[in-house]
Amino acid sequence: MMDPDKELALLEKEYPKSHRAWIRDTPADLDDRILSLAARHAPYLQATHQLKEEQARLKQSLDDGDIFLPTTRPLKGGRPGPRIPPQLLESWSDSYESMPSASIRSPANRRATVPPGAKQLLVSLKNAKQQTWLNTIADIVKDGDIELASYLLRRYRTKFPHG
Amino acid sequence: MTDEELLQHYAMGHSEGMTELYLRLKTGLYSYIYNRVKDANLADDIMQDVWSKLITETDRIVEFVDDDVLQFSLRPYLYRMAGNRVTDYYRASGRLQSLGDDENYLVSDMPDPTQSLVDREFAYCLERRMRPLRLKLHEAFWLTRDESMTYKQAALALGVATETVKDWVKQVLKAIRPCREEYEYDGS
Repeated sequence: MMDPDKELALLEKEYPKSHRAWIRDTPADLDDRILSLAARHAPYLQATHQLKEEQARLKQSLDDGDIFLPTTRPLKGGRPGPRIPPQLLESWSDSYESMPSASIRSPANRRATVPPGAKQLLVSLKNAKQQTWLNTIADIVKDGDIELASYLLRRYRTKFPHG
Repeated sequence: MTDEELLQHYAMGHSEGMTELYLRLKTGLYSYIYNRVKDANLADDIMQDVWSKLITETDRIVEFVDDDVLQFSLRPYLYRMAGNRVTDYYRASGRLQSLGDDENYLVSDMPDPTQSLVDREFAYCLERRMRPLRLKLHEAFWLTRDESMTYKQAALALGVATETVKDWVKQVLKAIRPCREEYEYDGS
């Protein structure tokens, strides 16, 4: 019996992948439409990227105690307030999480952002292992439901912060 | 640069990242879509739909690329997205005959009338020979006609083992073998 890979290679030789019958190029106007959309969207991505970088840099600086938080005390003669020792400084992320505006911060109150099907999945993943979470997310990504996959990835990172 | 690195480059706001990615993948992906729907206008719509989604969701999709644990691969993702759109079209147009969970067949798959006569005759032959085969086999065959698509990537896109894809493609290649002799068609 012939080796399966060898047999496939022989068959592929008869119908090479470069066969004219199955190669079809895109029309120029379609290329223009897609590439112009990409160009129009790039500035938004650049702004988002810069914002994320700035947030990360600020968080790092606050965590390291390299910069000062603005003081609430009135300044005397325009001088800056006292430096807060790093050990007394709550990290940016901790203070963000403990902000009192629960109506905005609490996931329970952000119902509009929970994608369809998420609740059932979370129930089925309640006691699931880490790998099961990853497999589920990977399957959803392959199915193209980015919104649901993003939501589950955020929940995954909360559940397995060191994963 | 890999496909994923180009997407990351675009996610930083560099439009040339998406331009290069598109130019790299467009012919293979468009051929895949066109060969499955055999309608240029519909292929255009699906292609535009897939890329629009990729472009507008880049900041979210790139999170998967950045996550080492997920081992996200962009190419199978795009083909899978396109494949899902094609299947939606088959369902909506009543071209799908379902004989079970994973036993879907195409009712008819007529060649594009704008093709040349020889190409059309050849396409008729392919259609006739491939029609009795399960839809999954069609998917595997058309996915792997893209020269840059490996069997492993096709397996990822289809959610099956690499050996399964090879077996499916082999079945199709065997089934369409007579078309080449019938039309003395070398495709060069």
